[in-house]
Amino acid sequence: MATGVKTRVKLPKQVRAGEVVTIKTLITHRMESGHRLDSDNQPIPRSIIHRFLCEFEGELVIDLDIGPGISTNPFFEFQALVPGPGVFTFIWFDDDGAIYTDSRAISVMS
Amino acid sequence: MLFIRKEMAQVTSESDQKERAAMTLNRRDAMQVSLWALMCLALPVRAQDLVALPNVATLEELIYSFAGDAPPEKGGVSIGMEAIAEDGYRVPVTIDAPSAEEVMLIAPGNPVLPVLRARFGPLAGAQSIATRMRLGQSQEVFALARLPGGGVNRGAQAVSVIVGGCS
Repeated sequence: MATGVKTRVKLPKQVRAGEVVTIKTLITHRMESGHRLDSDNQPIPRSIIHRFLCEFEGELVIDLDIGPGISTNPFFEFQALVPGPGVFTFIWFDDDGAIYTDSRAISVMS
Repeated sequence: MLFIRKEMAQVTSESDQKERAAMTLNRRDAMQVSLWALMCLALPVRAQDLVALPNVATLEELIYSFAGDAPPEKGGVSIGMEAIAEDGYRVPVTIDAPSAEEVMLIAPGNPVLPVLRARFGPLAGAQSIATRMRLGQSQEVFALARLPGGGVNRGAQAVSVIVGGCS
């Protein structure tokens, strides 16, 4: 497992039911492309976040397959429909088998 | 004489058809073989680590893997990106594909062509995704979008890169 991995998620805490919200996510990760050489001219093995998932109460919001063409510290911004109060779950899949998760509860104005 | 010609014509058209069938099979076979080769290469890695993005050599194969036989139509998907990227290591990019169910971002000038594939679920508020990508050189980045009806749209954006981000 890579060290110092930190996830960040930004979204409103409270919305109206049926509202569309903007979600911004970021994970600190080197995203080693596998195409670089080290000082001995040996290729540095690939190590990236290759998948990201966002779900709301078990329903899919967005599912990303990620290649080495995404920058260091992958950042994603997308829109989600909030049908009611619940919890957003965010999952990042690392090449090394590690899985990083984060979640945010959202409430609905009465 | 005429009869013979007719027969010959029939024979050729039959062999043509067979050849064509063999060709389609060949293409599919080739893709399957390359997929298997990829999986064999990835054998020491656990199943969840397998790359979901297609690992193909050419742009044509990549487009075929996403769109199949349907030729992508221009329009319906837009790429928001500055025309000049100062730093190829992090280039902000937005893909906007109203009503699409899946989009793929492709950088033909990068060592790995497929950059990102997004599937939009029932709770996606809009069919758009913004991120930051690497660009190895100046090129025309483009996006494919699959519509629920099965059609495929295509959009492109040319970008000049000052410092390449793939070394």
